[in-house]
Amino acid sequence: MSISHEATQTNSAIGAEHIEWVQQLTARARTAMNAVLEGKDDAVGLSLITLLAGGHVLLEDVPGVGKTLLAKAMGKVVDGSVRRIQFTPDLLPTDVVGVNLFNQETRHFEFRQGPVFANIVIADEINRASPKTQSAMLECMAENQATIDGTTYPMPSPFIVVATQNPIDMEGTYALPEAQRDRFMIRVSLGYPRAQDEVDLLDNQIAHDPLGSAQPVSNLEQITQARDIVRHVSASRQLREYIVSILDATRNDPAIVLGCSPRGGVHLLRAAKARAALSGRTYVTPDDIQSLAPFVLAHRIIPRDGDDSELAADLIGRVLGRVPVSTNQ
Amino acid sequence: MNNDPRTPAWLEAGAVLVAMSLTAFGLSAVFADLKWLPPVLLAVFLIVAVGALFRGIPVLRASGTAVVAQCVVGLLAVLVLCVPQTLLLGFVLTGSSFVAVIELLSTGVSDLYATTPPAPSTPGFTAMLVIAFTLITILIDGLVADLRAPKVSGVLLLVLWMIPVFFAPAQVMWWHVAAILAAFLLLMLSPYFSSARWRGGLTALVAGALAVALGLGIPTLLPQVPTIENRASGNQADLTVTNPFLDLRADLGNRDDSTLFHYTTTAEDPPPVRLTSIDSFDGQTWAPSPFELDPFAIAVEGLPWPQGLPRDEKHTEQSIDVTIGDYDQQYLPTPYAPQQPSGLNRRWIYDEDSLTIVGNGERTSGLEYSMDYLSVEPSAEDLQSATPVDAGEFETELEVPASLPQSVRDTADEVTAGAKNQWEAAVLLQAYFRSGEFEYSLDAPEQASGDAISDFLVDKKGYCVQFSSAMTIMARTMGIPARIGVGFAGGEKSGEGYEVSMQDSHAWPELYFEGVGWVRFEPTPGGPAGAPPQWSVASGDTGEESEEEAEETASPSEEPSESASQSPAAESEAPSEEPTTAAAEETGADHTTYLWAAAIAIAVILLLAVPGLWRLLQRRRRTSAPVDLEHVWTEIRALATDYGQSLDPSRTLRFNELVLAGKVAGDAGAGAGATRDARAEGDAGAGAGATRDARAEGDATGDTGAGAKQAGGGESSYLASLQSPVPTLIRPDRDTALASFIDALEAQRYGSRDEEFSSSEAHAVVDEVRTALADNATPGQRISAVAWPASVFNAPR
Repeated sequence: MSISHEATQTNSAIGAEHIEWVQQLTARARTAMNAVLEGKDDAVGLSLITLLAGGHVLLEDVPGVGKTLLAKAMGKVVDGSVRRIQFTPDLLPTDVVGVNLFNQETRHFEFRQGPVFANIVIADEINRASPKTQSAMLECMAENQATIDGTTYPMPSPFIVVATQNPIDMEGTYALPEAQRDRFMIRVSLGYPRAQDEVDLLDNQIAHDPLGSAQPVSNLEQITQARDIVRHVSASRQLREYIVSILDATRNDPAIVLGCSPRGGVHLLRAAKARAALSGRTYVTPDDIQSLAPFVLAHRIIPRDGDDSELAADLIGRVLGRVPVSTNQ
Repeated sequence: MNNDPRTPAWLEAGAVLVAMSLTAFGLSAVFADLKWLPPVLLAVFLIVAVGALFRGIPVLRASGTAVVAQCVVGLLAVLVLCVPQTLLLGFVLTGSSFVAVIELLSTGVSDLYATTPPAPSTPGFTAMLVIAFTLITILIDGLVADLRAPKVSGVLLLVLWMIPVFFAPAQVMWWHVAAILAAFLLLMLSPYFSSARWRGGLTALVAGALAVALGLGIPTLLPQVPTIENRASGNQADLTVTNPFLDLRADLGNRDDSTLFHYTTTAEDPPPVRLTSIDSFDGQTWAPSPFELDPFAIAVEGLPWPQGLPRDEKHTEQSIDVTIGDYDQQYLPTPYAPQQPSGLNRRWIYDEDSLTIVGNGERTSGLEYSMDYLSVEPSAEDLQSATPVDAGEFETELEVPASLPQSVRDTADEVTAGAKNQWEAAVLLQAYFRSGEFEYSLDAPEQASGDAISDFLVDKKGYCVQFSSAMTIMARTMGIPARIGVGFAGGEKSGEGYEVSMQDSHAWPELYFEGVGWVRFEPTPGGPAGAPPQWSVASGDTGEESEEEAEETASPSEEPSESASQSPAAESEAPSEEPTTAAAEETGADHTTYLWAAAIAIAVILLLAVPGLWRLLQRRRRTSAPVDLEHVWTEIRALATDYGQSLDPSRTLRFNELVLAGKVAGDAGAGAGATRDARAEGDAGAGAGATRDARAEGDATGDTGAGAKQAGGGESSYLASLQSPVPTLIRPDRDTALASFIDALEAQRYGSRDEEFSSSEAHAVVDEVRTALADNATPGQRISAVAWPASVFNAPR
């Protein structure tokens, strides 16, 4: 299924049919991914929201709960190029973005792309890499480009990084600095599957490769179109004011040492637009903001009582409970 | 604290000043005059002014010494106002100032014991009040201005209010109550004087006014309780409850002959020592008539001249020294007529009619005192010449109960048939009792009722109770004012003085003769009673003469008896009229009372109806065409507030839709937090798991529309999908008017669409919401939502 290219490109006022198209596209992708990952619907949905909103996902969890599997499944269903970078302490920046090699035949330096040049990049255990390598990776994420020896190379579109990170109290890890965590649109924790799902999982994983059954349900073109539609979901001034008051509240909360950056607000609105589209709306409502805020904002704040993701999400929930939704309500 | 928009210091000070003045006015119930008021008000004003000065001027406020300054000024004010004579140059303290204040306070305390309200304002009272008001004003001013705790300060006002309530409940009128309530209200309102918070102030004002209206109105609606006459002396009942007369029988039979008191006197014959005189006889019992005890009729300041006694004759001045042992009661034993005691404190007060001395909270045990008294010693000639008294002056002393058997009157007439004048009649009566026909016996029945008297006249057996009451009542029938003296006979000689024991308890008639006063008789022929006083015994000549003459001049004797029989009748008419007129006045008063009550009730009802009517108007305005969705939403929020289920402003429209429909608990803080926590925790939530199942199934069908048919999940899954970061495709049956309204409002707010919404739809939504809210409300909330809508006073959230 496709939709007229012009309609999405030229007309900024999107219609219900565009939204419905995005909805159906996402529903298919979601169903396909859910078939691979048992009982991880929230994480799957959030990943898709991030994909549509043009952000990056930080999966934070203990090893072996399916972080990599989720990233691979997403790559598979959107039919894009998937590269995986296993971050290790001795990984160098050039191992990520690529390197200029001297070609003996042409007598020229040729750029050899690193694994980061792909539609979907799985940055596995990103907190195992040295900060130098981490920052090289994060520049690609923020700028959607890589600069090597003065030459700038754009990333392919769509470009989404699905980074996984072990919780910081695990051994041999360099926790991502706040500034770098801020570049991720969403942080999501997969958590252990429920007993029922885990039983199924044991069966399925042994019988066959779960990824093998997954088929692409869309192509990159469609993803780009869907992103375009999502960008045009409207957000009223009242709603933007609501976002700002949430950000402001995190900055003035005595239990929070560092509040949300303005980028957090941008990410929140973009994610909310994607969620609105998934809900079949052409406009963002406070429901979108409230339901996404814990995932979009929690990793951007530093609680006074320790950098703990559950505590941070809890604090964001409390902030939401304090901020009035509408000024004239 | 000082930065926020707050009431200016002078305004708060003014509120405190007015409140304290109103309280002072409320206190005026206790006092007969207002001499105490100016110093009190002056002290309050000084305190408040100093407080305003120190809190209003920034430099002084920074020093934070307002209360210290107030204390210093308060101390000076107390000294200047109460003991100006001890101050040098009128304001320099001296050591004696403090002593003087403390002395003043102690006189105030003893005045307190000696006073029945309404009391005159003595310097002692004034000092106490000035000090109390100074201290409480400092406290209240600090509470209101510094600590912003006007409620606590209201409690302090009540402390002052306890004074009239405790000491003078009978004197407290509605305006005193109104004054104290107004003062209370004013303090409560003081934080709201700054206009920014008028809404809360309005609530407080309306509620307070209503409370005042109810407080004043309800008592007038209640049935009137008959007021007990002479409440003030009734309060002194502890002074009169002991009726020594009733104890006589027991006292006489008392085998304990231990000495109650010991006395020495300058008189040759030991006079009977009287406790009190009893004059009120209701046909059943004798009792001291309730006399108004004036706490300032202080015995040591001298007693008045006895009634009817000439200044320069018919008496001798005597004195007596009494040492009381283990004899504990309230009447001071003294011979009649006491004039000048010494050795008593100022709480011994007297009744000027009977010259009874009683202790106002004092008792006789262990007392040692001396008394100058007048021993009435008339001659028979003096008494003979006495004219009948004016019956109007001796109502109680001449009162003969209607139930008195006729036989008593007949006997009296018979015995005194030969009397030429009242004295002779009295002498004949006494002689009749002492004639030997009567036997002294403690076995007689104890009662002294009318029937008992007639029985006694037949049985001719009794003791002093019977003798004295019979003679008293018979004298009264003759038109001689008579009462019973209760006390002790002279007692046993012991050394130079006399010892009195319980067995000397005695009662005797006292008869009043114009030109002489009260004169003792002694009809009792035995027991502790001594010989009859010489004036009460007719000398042989006079007695015979009178007897002889009595037969000749029978007619003159009719006169007194007639007048005697007429006067009670005349008297009995007068009181019977009074109640009727009083009753008539009362019914008249009742009408006006009911009118007032009705007016107050109507006013209260109107006042009560105002918020409800205002709400109806608001609702009409908000839902009338052209419909503004925001206005309808405001109305819905107002309804929620009315029903006590205010919406949480941090919740989204759709969540609140569920709250309004009663599907989700409202903004109970903990619950809301829990939902949010569960959501934030992601997959861990148990409840969320179930919904996710439903959602997964809905997704598995791959059909967007299919989710809508998932009725099983219902509202909870709708809520879960609302709050889930990933929207689900479940759509419960949201075909209610509220749901379509919420959709429209949301689209208008966030989708910039102008949604058409008709007035009838708006009404439907409002009605639906109201029904749903009422279903979830308690009965009380339902009533208050209509009658006293909260949203009028608190802006809906």
